[in-house]
Amino acid sequence: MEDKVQGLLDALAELREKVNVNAVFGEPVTAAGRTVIPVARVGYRFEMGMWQAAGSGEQAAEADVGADVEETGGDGSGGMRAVPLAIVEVTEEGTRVKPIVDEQKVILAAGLLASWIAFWVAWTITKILAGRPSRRP
Amino acid sequence: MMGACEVVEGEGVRVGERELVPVVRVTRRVERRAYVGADGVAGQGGGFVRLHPVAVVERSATGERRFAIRDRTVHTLIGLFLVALLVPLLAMVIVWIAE
Repeated sequence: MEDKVQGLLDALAELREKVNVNAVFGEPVTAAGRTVIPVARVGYRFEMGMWQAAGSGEQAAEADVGADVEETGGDGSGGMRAVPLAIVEVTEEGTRVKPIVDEQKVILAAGLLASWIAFWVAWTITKILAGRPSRRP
Repeated sequence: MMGACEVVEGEGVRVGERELVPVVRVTRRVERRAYVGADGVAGQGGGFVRLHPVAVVERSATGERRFAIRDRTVHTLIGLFLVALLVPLLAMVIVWIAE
């Protein structure tokens, strides 16, 4: 049990070392006289829980242990996420920041907007036609 | 429960004669809880750290320049959302004028 707890603490310590401000910059890549540095939004999360319960004397007697039974347990999890935001391009002429757009999200949102607009266009036409006076004699 | 939000500068990356320093908004939160009772003891904790780059500072012999980093994806999505809010208003105005 102690080994597992120590392993969990070691993993959290390793995560803590990576959580520094410099994690937003990626490794610079240089090619054809230009250096590109990726920039990302980074997030870390972690949770950990431990418990130790003392068992009753009756339970110990049933288990024929002869002493109070102690139960222990623990759990933990963590995660990391990096979303690219831009690239910094350094050349002889100067430095530029080029934003990165998540096209998948934009296309999905544009599709939903198109459906929304189509609904309201249909609603408008229906309302206008319903309000016109009937041409029957 | 502890939380904090601050803007800090990171270590610079040297590219030729220029040094590029990230300016980052750091948001962190930690929660800890403990229970001690006759039936046992328990403890739990957790937290998160968010690093959001807001600018890049270029330092060179000619001086210092600051380049803002904007999340274009979020800005585009906000623009589409605003259009989505305006469309029903426009439709109602058109119907009202037609009536």
